[in-house]
Amino acid sequence: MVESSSVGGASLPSGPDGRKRRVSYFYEPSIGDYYYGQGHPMKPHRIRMAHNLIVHYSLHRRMEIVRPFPAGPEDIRRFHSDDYVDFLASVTPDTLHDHTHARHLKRFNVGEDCPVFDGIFEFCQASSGGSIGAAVKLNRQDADIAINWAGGLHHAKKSEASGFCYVNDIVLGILELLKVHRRVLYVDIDIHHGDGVEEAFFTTDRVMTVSFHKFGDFFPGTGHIKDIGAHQGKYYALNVPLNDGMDDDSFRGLFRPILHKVMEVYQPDAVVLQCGADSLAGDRLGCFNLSVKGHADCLRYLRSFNVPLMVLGGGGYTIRNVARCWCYETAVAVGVEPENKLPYNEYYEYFGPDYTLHVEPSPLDNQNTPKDLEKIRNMLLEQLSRLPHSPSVPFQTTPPVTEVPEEPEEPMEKRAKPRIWSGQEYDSDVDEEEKPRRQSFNANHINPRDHARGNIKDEDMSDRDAPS
Amino acid sequence: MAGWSKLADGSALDCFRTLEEIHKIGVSIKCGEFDTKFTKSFNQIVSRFSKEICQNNCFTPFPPMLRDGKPIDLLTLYLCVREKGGYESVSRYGIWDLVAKEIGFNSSDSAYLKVVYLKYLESLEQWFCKIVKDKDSVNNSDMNFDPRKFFLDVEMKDYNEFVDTSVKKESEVIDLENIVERFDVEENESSKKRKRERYLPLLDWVKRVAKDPCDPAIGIIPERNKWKAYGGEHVWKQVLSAREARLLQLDLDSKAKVIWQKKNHMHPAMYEDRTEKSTSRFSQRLITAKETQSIPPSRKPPTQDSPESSSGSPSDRDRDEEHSFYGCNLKRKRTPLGRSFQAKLPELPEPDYSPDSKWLGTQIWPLQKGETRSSLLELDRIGKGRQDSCGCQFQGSLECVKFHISEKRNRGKLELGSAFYKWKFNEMGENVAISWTLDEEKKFEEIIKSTPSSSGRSFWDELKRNFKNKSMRAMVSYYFNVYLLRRRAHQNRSDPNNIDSDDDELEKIENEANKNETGSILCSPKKVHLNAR
Repeated sequence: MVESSSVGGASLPSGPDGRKRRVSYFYEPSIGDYYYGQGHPMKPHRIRMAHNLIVHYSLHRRMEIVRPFPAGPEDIRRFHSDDYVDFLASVTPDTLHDHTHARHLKRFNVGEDCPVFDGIFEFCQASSGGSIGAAVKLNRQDADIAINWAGGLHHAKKSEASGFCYVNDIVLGILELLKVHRRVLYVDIDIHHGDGVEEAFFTTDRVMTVSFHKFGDFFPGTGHIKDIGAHQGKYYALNVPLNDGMDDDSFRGLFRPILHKVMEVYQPDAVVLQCGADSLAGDRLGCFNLSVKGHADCLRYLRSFNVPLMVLGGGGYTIRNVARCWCYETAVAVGVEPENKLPYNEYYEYFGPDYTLHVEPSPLDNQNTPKDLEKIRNMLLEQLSRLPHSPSVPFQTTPPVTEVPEEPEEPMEKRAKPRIWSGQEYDSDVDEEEKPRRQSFNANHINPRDHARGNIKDEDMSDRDAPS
Repeated sequence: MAGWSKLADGSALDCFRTLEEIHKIGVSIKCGEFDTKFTKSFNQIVSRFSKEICQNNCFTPFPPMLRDGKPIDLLTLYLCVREKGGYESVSRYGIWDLVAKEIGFNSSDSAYLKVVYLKYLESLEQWFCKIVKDKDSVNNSDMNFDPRKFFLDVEMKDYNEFVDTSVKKESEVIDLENIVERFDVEENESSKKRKRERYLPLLDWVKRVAKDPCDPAIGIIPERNKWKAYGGEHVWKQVLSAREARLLQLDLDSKAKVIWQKKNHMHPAMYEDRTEKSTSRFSQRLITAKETQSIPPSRKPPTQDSPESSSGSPSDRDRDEEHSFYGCNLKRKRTPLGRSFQAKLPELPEPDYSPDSKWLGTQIWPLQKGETRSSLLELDRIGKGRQDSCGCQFQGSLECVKFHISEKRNRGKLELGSAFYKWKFNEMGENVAISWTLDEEKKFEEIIKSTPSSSGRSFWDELKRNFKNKSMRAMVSYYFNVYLLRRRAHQNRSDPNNIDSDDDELEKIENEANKNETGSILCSPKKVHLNAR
């Protein structure tokens, strides 16, 4: 797997050997008791199941595990509107039909997908407290990777609940990261489009959003390939619209080249990965066909850049597979390859009849033709090539956050080209041999921005009629 | 709004060409005798432009005159100023007196000439420059130039200004019909010359859309890149462009934004296509994907007489072909812009970042230093799974599994110390059943089984009625930790090919899916229910 190790990123050192990452993991012990209601596919219990597996695989020994501090209403207001937060903080199933609340239900889209359940606000506080806490850990350089499986609720809007999400912990986490970091990359592999996060940062170039999702006749309906951001944020939203049956190879063939290019041109100071597990095979609401390893490959790849990384949960409605997936991804984060036979654990019977960590993807038809995938890839790579390198804050002003002895750098051209995975043996220890590297784009990219911006503006006029 | 649309079918083009021509031969006109034809048509353009584009309804005499009655020839003035780099540079270099001299006035009249230029010609100059610039950039990218597009742009600006004035005038919440009505009023007030009939189809169309977006009579809106084929005449095109321009402008124009936000609490989803049928969806954002999809790109709207198919240049078609794949041709659902949607970003950098230490949370692992663990405990290797075989008599039986879980659990308990309880491992799995009597457990099971979700009742209501001594939280905990787990254990042994950890209320979900609400995340119509494990 030459390719991944040769694809560096702006990297941080994380230990003498450069491969171990200091991992902080946020877990609220009462999270599994929240309950959306009968028939609701969103089950916080899955987070408890994942945690249980993680501990029984002894992965906790490689991490710091903390209980998050619940985010207060004033913290949540950093993104959400006052009246919406007031509503969430005060509504309960019993007061639901009180006059004051009843008229808000429609306005805030609370009711159907997003029911009012017992402890709704505490749940939101735990979820967003974890993500803000994760951001703080990264900001203080206490950790290289911070995990919050209770986070990743990417559909929530500024004044509206949506798709089982009430408070957008991701936006709150990213806002915290932006206090220290100039550019944050958000990557979303939930099967649903990451619309809430995209919308929140649609007009800024300080956050780039990249979402891989099922598109067409599917919730939430946004995320067209031509939705690329607006104003200052134009070209800083990337959407990868996919069809049913995405398998590991197809996904990897898009994810790696696109993220390689994104890391190259955008050079984020921090990365946030939303690991919605509804893109796994056999999900109750999803229609992709990813294996746990294929799903986790996204994390593995982003981790290899050695940039501060926040890892969040998200969707995932076949709970035994969600627990499998997030457990395995925690293992990837700490650099362990767990055995396939699940250790005995309290939720053992959920994983029968095989009781294994990995499950075979279903023999589902992949409706994404290689030709389509190639077109998508080319279109997005082309869009990325129009980006000025690392915008918003010019490179010469980079504060020397961490001084790393410069290694001789090979020029970008000489590095292995991104390619579609050729189907080699899956190598789970891809980045074990890696050394931390910091690419110095500085020399080449001082002020390329003005020039590139000019080009973009011109194209802007014509691409309304036809993508060029 | 539609000031230029009456020109759009050809005379606008002529206008532009005349201007272009004037520019080309400008120098010779200026030096020699004036071609009256040019003077006349130029004056016409200016007059029309100032009235209709700039909404300039005050009295502007033609031709403008100095105090002493000496007429100013606008064309000469225009060309002279253009030659010197336009209004801005003439003003910047302070050479208005030079201009005055050159076109036969005293330098003392320069200030007056400047005012005349500003009043009559400046906006025209800007407009013309924009077109030329755009045209160049369009030509560079090898596209067919269509000046009508730019007239439409001007029109949109015009429309935006109009909407803004309406907003200023009215403080109540606007809805689409209000706009239409105001539009009517404004129409009457502003210019009697305009023929109202011209806009009637547009107004009707907008009203119809507002009433029922699903009405087939509204017609079908093609993909944006096909719009060119329909010229500037189509009402839907004008309305949609107006809508988009308005949305974009909402964010751009800070002044307008403030007014807008102060006086209106309108959900921008007002601008979204929506259907009255989707009553079960509260949020107007959630237009259904079906709707989104139902617009084949190539069909023509029946609202207007068919336009000549002037578009579809080969290069366009190739481009479409090149980028067409599943999903690409589906309609887009736009992301709303504005302060009520985007996040407010923190300034960068925060010079001394000192976050509240509360965010660091409570560390549970590693254990606090004071806490010691038994050093005799032999730890399992990190990532270790279960052994291939055990010495149990019936391997894999319920008893065997129970035994090993409990064994593993006890080892964990020793290692985790206080973390075992802090993480509530004591409230996980079969252990939860300890606080339940056998009778209670039996009753719990019976109630769930006798309340099928198809009955429309929630088994939780029944449970709450029957277990007055148990909290909802305790019952939910029992449900996930014991009830479902036992059922799964049974499934694994009796019917291993047909297992589901999430089938608690599957029936109900399927019913919901049949309602076909694609605006709901629950709905994935194409989903094949597979028993993937």
